[in-house]
Amino acid sequence: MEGRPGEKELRSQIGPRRRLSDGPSVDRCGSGFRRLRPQPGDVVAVGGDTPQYALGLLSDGDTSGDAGFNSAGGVNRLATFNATPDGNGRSAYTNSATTGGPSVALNPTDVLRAGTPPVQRVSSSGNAISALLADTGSQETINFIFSASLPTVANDTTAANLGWGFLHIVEIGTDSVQIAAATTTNAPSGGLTAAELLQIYTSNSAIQSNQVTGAGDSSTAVVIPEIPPSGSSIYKTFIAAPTLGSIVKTVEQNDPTTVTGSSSPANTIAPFSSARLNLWNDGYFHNPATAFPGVGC
Amino acid sequence: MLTPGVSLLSGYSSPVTDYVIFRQSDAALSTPFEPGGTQNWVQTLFSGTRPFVDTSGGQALLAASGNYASSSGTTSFTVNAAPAAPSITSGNAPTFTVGTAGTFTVGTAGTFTVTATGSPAPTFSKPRSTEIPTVIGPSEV
Repeated sequence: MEGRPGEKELRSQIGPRRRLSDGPSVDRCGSGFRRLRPQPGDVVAVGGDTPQYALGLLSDGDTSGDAGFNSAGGVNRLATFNATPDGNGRSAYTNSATTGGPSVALNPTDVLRAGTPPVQRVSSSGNAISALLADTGSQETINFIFSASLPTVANDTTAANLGWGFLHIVEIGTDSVQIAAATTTNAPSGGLTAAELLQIYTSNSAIQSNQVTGAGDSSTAVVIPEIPPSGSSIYKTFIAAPTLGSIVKTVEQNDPTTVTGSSSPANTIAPFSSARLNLWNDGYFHNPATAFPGVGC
Repeated sequence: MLTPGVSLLSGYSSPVTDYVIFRQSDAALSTPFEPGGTQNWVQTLFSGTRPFVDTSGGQALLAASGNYASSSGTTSFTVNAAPAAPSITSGNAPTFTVGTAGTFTVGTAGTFTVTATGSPAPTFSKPRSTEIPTVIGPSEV
């Protein structure tokens, strides 16, 4: 059966084995096309949340017109799969209305290669290195990973034992973890030191702003410290050795709504990627409640 | 445009580095990424002569993602194990004990295996023929 003229033209250009499908990485405003599932010659990458937009833009370009690698129109392409299933970097949860219980984290899936079944989405830098080391078939499914964490010596030994030589690492950019607070906040204007954060994040009882050593704050407002999941690179960067206090709430990584949507935004803090906030402040993200084409697209 | 509604406090800041990680064996692939090309996919994208990530376009995209690109371009390195003294890990063969002379029966084939750990990986060498019967041969060492 013949499709519409545009479909026929596309098939004639890319060959009969290729088909249109949902894209493997984040959909971007203005990208103008739906992605093809990766073919054998394509390079596939999975990785963590923190560097995911860097790799996504490298592959497909940005919204300012800077052309990505795939814009050159080569036969083989770079396909990056985000850690998060949502273009705004949010995680997925079960539908409480369907399950009748509280929403819990979902395990989203991806089709990493054309003609293969969906597999569990790699959702963190730690998961990514595990996935790469588990990809031992004669044909690579995952060609490389993007990560904000270095592999361990044990990882490298595993790679050597697999006959790969070792894990080759390329540093592509730098970011920083800082503390995010609501635009209107009760946090001290001078910020919080590592010692003050240690006091807050290891507390097992409610802690008021005026109880934070050296903060110079007279407020009795209770501080709400948040932390992303333990597998995240932000967590690993922020938490070295201390055991988290019971007042710390686990929230999504690099999601500002965890602060603005908390029970007391002005008293909530969370470690956050400065690069991600730069992306936010550059206007990359749009209101997900607005239907296509969205605001500004 | 969606505004985040948050800002970063001054004070605490901990650096984070973004990496791409791949098999070293892929860096030596002879298959070009593009038909007719000369560079494999690793060289094309990350680690060759002027890979895409080091072009002005690649650097602009990294900056657009909010990251701070290295002023000297990308840097490749590896994680190596800390040096460790060699250590024999193999068990003792029935007639051979580590550190103790053992025997073979003339006319009866016998074998033994030696394994060891260490970093860099230990290597083995066969003792001179005057110290081991030539009938064993190097393949048994």
